[in-house]
Amino acid sequence: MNDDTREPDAASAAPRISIVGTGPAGLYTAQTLLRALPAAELTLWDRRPRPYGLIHEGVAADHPHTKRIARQFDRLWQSPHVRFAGGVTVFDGNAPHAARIIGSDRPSVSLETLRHCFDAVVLATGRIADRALPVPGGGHPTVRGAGTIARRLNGAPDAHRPLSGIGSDVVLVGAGNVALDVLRFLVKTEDDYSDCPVDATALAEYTARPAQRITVLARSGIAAGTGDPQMWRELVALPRGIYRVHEAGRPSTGVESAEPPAFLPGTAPSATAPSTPGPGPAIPDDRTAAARLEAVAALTDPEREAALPPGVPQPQVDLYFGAIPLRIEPVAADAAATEEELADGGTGACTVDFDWRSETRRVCADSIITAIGFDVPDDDPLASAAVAPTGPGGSGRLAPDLYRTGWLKRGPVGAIPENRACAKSVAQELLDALAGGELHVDPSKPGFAGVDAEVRARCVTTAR
Amino acid sequence: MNIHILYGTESGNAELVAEDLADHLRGEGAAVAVTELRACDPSALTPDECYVVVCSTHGDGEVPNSVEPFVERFDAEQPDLTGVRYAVFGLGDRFYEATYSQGSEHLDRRFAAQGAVRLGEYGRHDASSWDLPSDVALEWIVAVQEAFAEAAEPAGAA
Repeated sequence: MNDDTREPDAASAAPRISIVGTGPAGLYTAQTLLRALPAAELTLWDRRPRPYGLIHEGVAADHPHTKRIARQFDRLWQSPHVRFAGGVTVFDGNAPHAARIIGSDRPSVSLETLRHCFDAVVLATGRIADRALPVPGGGHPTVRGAGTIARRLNGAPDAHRPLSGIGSDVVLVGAGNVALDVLRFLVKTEDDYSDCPVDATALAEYTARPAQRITVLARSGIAAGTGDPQMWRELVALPRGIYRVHEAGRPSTGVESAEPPAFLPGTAPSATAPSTPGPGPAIPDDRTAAARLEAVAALTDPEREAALPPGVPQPQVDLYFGAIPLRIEPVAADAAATEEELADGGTGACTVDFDWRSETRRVCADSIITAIGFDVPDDDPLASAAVAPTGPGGSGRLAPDLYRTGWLKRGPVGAIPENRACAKSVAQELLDALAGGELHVDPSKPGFAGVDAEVRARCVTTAR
Repeated sequence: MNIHILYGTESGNAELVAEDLADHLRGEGAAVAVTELRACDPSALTPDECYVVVCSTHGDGEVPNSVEPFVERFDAEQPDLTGVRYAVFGLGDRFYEATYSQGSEHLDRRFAAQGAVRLGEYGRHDASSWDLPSDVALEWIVAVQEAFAEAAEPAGAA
């Protein structure tokens, strides 16, 4: 480290800032702050021993090109002004479950300690817990979240649940980009991953007994969905799967107003009515909606089906648009099936009831995969900072010395470009507070050196 | 030589390329300004500067969201770009075959239609390659610098 920047008598002392979370939001924050404050000292914390968050854990294993945005951050780690401190859990010391975190064996540091040691703290810890399906039976062991699948395929350290037991009848709830990642995974074979870094053991768990029948339940009509047309086209071009489309009952116009899903910012996940009006899903511009309609229509082009490779078993995919899940019920004989039993490939059969065109339909499922958004669980170490997500606008400032950015601030909406814009804007709020005098640089604060010695010794870092 | 780099970025790659090009060009003695397209006034484009346009592709072969305001202003103002010289470096991804690297082309077409002249080869980076965008851009800019220099000489104007 450059000792000159630590001179306590320097007329303009270098700010020392902690950033918690090294996914895109945290890293773009670091990039922006370093450009504006070249002498600043940044400590980047992550609960994982390696950085990059969802870039590696959440981006689909078969989209390696998307992961390459991580390379622009290589320079951060080379800067003498940046320290990575990995394998450390940052927690709210005032939370009811703080004692459990302190008592665990994993290195941890409280937010209060960080605020004591550093001039400012930016929280960029995201929202990575799969949102639960809010229907009776939504907690059945056969239900699994899309995030858990992505992490398992990407070889994430705590992705313990094997991918066996997913097939052969699968219900997929959701039709946004995350759901489309799952659908691709469900229809692909091992050969389709030849150019992709993927956890081969995990993939083999699934391909040993792949899905034969897939039912996708999409709440909105085709045009108003959130899946990128490009993602649908990818499925069209992939010679896997025979598709049938069941359109929503209402006429499908270019601009449909679907009721905003309850989990979007401004609404409470489990409330029956929004607590405050939320921004709702973006009304798609006509061009995107038209492209989406065209792509989905191409899935049922008879020429596509005719061109599928002969002799390869093809899963049947039924896409229901305007479908609302109602309940999940175990088939009586398997009512006591546990997650462990299901992981061994047991049938764990359930029925899934859903509303479609004002009728209740029922389908059998060996597993149910949800791709309906992400959130922060109540027992998350920083749950208090996740309350009341702001949506795309709004401030990330929690206090002059404390900020939140990325999905933690906005809610689980928007991909990498949106997180970049958010990170820059919240970083600017911090810079404004510095410039305006609401945030002071205090050279007497200890910085990283003030953190518990054992944590400093045990954390994964490039600098000492 | 006055060089003005205009960039349009979605995930930061084009911005990084713009900055790396700027560092290199300044190192060679040029006066370099860097502006995000979002903040650029189309009617301020002038023959006194050599423009390097660095732009990514977004969505269906479109310009990045942050560039749309520039495009809208450009279409509204229809500036006369006679005598304006520019080079283009486009970022794209061959994973998206149908629309590969088309983002920057939206700008190139407009500049050309208003009388500006493109110099040098059309630069392109493919995100699905193993090359770093800046590495490709720094190789590409060499010939562009020469083309700018040649274009500046005949009229005797700096």
